[in-house]
Amino acid sequence: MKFIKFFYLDFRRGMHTVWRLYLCGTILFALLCLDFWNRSRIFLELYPDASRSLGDLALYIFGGMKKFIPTPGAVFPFPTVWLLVMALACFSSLWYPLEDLYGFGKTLLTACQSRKRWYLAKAVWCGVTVSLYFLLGWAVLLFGCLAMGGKFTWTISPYMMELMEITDVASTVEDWQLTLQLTLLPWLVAVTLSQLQLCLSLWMQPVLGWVISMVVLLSSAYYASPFLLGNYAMALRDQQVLTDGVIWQVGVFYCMGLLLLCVIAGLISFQQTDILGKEGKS
Amino acid sequence: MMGKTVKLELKKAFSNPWFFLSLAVLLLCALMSTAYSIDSYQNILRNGFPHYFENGKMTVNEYYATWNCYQKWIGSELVSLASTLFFTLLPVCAVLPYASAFHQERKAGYLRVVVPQCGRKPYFLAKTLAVFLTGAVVVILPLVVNFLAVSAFVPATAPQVNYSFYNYVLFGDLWADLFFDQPLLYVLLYILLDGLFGGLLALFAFALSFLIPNRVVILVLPLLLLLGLDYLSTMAAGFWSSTPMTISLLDLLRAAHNATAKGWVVALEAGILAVFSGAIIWLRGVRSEVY
Repeated sequence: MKFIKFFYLDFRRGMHTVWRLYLCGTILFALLCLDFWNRSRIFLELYPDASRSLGDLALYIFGGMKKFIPTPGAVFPFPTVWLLVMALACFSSLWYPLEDLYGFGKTLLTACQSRKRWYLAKAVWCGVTVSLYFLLGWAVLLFGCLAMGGKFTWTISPYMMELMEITDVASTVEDWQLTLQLTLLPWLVAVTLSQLQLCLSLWMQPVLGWVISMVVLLSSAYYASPFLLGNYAMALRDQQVLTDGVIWQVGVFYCMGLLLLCVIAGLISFQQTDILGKEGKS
Repeated sequence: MMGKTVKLELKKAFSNPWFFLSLAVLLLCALMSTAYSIDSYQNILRNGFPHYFENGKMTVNEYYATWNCYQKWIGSELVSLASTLFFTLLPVCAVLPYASAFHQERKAGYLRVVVPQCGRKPYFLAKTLAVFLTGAVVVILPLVVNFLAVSAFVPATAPQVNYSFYNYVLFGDLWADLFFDQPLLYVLLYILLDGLFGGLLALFAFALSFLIPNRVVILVLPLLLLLGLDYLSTMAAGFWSSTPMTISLLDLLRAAHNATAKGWVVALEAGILAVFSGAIIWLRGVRSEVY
């Protein structure tokens, strides 16, 4: 069976399982737009010349959190908005691949006699699922920006520093160019984590792979380290915002490298996976 | 027959590898938080306290009164990554051991073998008890270990109300008066409360297994819903002008909070979880056919 046909079947069957998650994602992004509109209202009243922009809205959602410095008496500010968006993205591709393997996918696997094609189709499906989630999210953001009368520019308004509670910055807000950090990097990090989850699901239960993704994301929020993947998904950790912050180009290479490694490891591992034995052990 | 069924379910629940894995994960977080608290205290003991006193009088106020075991155990410590991981992974670790057992038994056909033997009511009651207890125990044990370990190194001096800014126990919070009068009782009550919610979250996942056919979704949904509730809590705080009250369970389960933690909110959320889970288990389990 041709790969494209394999993927098409996966796409059709997989979409049946994730449409509810996309609905929840749409509602979440809509709530985030409403939340941003409410929080920015105060600053627009304080600074009459200020206005909302697409960049401001995107920074509120994909900005993450400022660097946390643990001192006695300090409180770690849980990055709820960012974590929820990324958690849902990682969750979107979590259960379908293994569910398919235990069901109809086994039939397809024996029919086409190619484990590589099966795994690659799943890997591509995971990437497409996460991509559709972000596309949907961005569609809602564009509509939200339009609805609140915001400008369709990527410039970050100065009041965002107060809204996001950022004090020490590496450069002035007006100089920030965060377009790729707000669009490409969160998506790429989520796709990489989804591939990591897919690879890990060959050795352990999928839910544990998602827990590992959550640990990576939370650790990234806590430590502003270039070795922790989640830092590249937070625009506020970029070197333009944070002194000694992460470099987005490094993030792209890191994600691509890890993604490739996960796909290759998964392909090799799946060649040896006992499919029938796995179904019995749940 | 009821006794035998309960014994069997408890044995299955407490001897399965997921229980030990969940316990290990939460214990690891608890021990990491212990290490952080003890290390911080030892650091301030060596480098700070000797400089705070002169001739028996305090010359520098470095929040000496906040260094006690009631504020440095994992429930009250809001700084370390370990404590954040503990309370974030708590919903997953509480449901992982045994909440999806019914789903697996129904899928495997085991249900059709055991229910005719013991009856629907004994089976579901025993299952409910086992699910609740595993969820509760997997949360309580690490908390107890953490508090015992921290209290072995950090003194048990009573918290002081004039440091309420650093206690993160606000006026009107659940059991706030106990925190200052009987801090040990406060800690014990919070450990029990966390265990209760661990059990209730496990029951919630058990109830979800009647409604959702996918095991992964059953196990992950409680945490996703709590993250959603946490977001709604911060969103609601953005609309209020006065001191925000938290409705997030991820926040309420801690013994110290950044926003006001009302007792009635805790009771309401526990009630909702209990009623929903109980109703679903009763109506879709006990009162329905398994075939």
